[in-house]
Amino acid sequence: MDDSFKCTECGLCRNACPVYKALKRETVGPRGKVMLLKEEIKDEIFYACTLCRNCTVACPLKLELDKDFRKYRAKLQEAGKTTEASKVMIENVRKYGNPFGKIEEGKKPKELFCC
Amino acid sequence: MFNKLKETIGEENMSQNEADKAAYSSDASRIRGKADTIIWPKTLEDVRQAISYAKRHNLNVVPRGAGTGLAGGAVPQDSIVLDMCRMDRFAVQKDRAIVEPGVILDNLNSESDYILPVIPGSHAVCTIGGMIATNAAGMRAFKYGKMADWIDELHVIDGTGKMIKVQGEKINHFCGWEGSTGIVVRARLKLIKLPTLRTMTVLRFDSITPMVERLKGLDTSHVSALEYVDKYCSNLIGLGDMNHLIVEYESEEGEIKDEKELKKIWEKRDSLYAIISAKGYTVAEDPQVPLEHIDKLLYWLQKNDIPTFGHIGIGVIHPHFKKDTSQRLVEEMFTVVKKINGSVTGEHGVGLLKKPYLEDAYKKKIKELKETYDPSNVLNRGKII
Ligand SMILES: Cc1cc2nc3c(=O)[nH]c(=O)nc-3n(C[C@H](O)[C@H](O)[C@H](O)COP(=O)(O)OP(=O)(O)OC[C@H]3O[C@@H](n4cnc5c(N)ncnc54)[C@H](O)[C@@H]3O)c2cc1C
Ligand code: SF4
Ligand code: SF4
Repeated sequence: MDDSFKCTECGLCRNACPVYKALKRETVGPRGKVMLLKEEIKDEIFYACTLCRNCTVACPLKLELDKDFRKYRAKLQEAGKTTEASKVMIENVRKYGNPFGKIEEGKKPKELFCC
Repeated sequence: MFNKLKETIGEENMSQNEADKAAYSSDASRIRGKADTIIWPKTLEDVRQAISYAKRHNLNVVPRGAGTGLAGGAVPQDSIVLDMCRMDRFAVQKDRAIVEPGVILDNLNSESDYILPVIPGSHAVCTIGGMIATNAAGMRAFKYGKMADWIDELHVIDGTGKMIKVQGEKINHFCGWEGSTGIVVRARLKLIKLPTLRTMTVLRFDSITPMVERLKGLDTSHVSALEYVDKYCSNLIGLGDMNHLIVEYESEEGEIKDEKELKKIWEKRDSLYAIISAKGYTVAEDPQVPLEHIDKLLYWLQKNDIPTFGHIGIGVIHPHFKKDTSQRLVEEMFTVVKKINGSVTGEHGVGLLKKPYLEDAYKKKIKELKETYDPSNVLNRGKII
């Protein structure tokens, strides 16, 4: 999690983040997540990251926070913190090899999930 | 306790959960505080309700924009944080804009050919409300001044929950007082037509004296920005081992004419704060001193190995200190600043960081304003004084 600890908390990447832009809540933005990670707060908010790396592009230090957030998700998983949607997706991947569940030939998936 | 407020503002627009409190416990100053509740107002009535509620229950309210402030102005101290970012509607009509406080500067400036020419280094994210509250300056302050010069009219909600409309001299009762006299809920701003011609000259100097001499003798009739980058900082952004003056013109005078080249140099300059901060120099100061004596301050900074850059054209520079060694050196620096008739803050505000160094006249003024607009000390309690 090196890059998160290098973060200067300047906030310059905030408006590049699609999740922040949609929700306008500091907590879901890149800097907000860094604060949580530094405090070791295990919250499902880390699933609210598209891993798009827009924050890296906007960051003057080119920090790769997405890698840290991905690793932190694994920690959350271990701590039993996961979203309902990701539980279903994991189950589907195990059972059917895809996140959507059983798909009949030529048919669209019945449900689309997003964490 | 907050049930009544939840009913009016909406449960989805308030939070006391651990994650939100942690994310809102600081700003770019990295001073840590403690948030009690976060509220995301959508209307000025929401703001009014929150303030009236806080006043009734002896709570304190910290307004927050993008949290890029470097003095800890938006750091909560067991406070209700009002995150103004969802109040972000605006309308541009030629050279005027009506804006809500959460509007992001770059969003406003990309709307039309008319722009607000006050451009802090945080322009990609900072909000108009935060800029008004800190009386922000920035790269082009040399030509375009500070935020106060661009406000026609303000609507604020004061510490009693009353909505006030101000124009003229009274704008200065709110602009620059860091949210401690009122919360900006709407503003009418002046804009200018986007200048079409910009050129630049980058001047290099081995030592300070010839640089300051050159600065004083510069023909500045068409200069729009005049920035200083010392040797240490110049090296960090690949400009080489020299002191630099970056001079931007709104005329043909500059040597660099290519727009892309100009943009590259500004991007390097914009990145300086984060780069220097990552090197451990996390305390960013912003003294403002008269140009005729600025060499004294620059020599002191050089002698003490303090990395510095800034808006030298208006006498505002940003010396950066390491947290563990900062106190003694910052105190010494402010002694130098005061000796040459400078002030402790030129653009970032006082917040928590500069409280101990504040001039008496400044303290007297804020006490008077607090008495008038926020006698119960609901707004940004513990900041400035
Ligand atoms: C990389 C970087 C570069 C910077 N460059 C510059 C620069 O060149 N020039 C400059 O002047 N500053 C600069 N700053 C400092 C900062 O960006 C400015 O002070 C900016 O105006 C703050 O805007 P904000 O929306 O982030 O406000 P915040 O940091 O959220 O708040 C700043 C202050 O305003 C108050 N406030 C916020 N919204 C309101 C409101 N609606 N009503 C009343 N009070 C309110 C807060 O309580 C706080 O006291 C820089 C910061 C960074 C990180
Ligand atoms: S990688 Fe995640 S945090 Fe970064 S911009 Fe994309 S969604 Fe936001
Ligand atoms: S990731 Fe980079 S841009 Fe974002 S807050 Fe940290 S240092 Fe600033």
